[in-house]
Amino acid sequence: MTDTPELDQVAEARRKLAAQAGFPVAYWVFFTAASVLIAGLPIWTSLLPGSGLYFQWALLGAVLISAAYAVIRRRRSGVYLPRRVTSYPGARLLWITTLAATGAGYLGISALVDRGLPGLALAVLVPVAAVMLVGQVLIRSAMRRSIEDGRVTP
Amino acid sequence: MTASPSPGGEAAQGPDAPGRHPILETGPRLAMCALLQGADWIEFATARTLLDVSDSMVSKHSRTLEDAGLLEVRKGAVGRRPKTWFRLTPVGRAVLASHLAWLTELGSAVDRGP
Repeated sequence: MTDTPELDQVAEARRKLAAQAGFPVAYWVFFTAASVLIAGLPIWTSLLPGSGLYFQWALLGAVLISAAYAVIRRRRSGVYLPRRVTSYPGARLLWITTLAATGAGYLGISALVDRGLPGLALAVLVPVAAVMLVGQVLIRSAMRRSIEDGRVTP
Repeated sequence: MTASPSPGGEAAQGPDAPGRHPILETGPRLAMCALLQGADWIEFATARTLLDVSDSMVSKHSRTLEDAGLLEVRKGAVGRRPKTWFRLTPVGRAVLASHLAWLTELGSAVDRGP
């Protein structure tokens, strides 16, 4: 609570808006599955030769489902939050860190597969997918905090 | 809104106090602007629900804010349903920021005491 009722009103409005930035559990389950699929692409294609095309379609499907979900969610909720993560100052650094860690993990998995170590690559996939998931969860929390603090720059 | 003591005495309390914007001191206008500050657009019904006010209140105050150039209103349809969306203009953002800064300073001055 702040010192004046007016600032309390503002804090309450921002808190209600920030609540709209959260995702349901089903989204995170889908995100985890998509993370495992994407980060493990070098492994899947090496274990199942000739299946590259199917994985590309699966990847495209995941992207389309994700985009459709974002559009439907915006329309249903009536809240159009800024799309770019850079609009949320508190989430920028986390986003860059997660992106870098994900990229490094993907390159590491690819290198292990290239050296004929798919078992080790599978073991590495678990922490890489976990980093992707935890990173995204932290990014969403940081976005909520930025909204609550009134620091969003659409 | 009730009058509050101000850091700079009478001059800072008056409607001409630097940073103060009396237009935001009526009804849910301040909360509405604070809601819109963090979003690109917010739909009419969602604004009404989040602010917990009636349709007529949202309609009346949004029109005032729009006339003052603080709010942009877009009308359209989703399917066959007519919809109205709001967003703060750059001027609205600046006005809200300065009014909030004034309120914060006012709160600090009250805490410091006479």
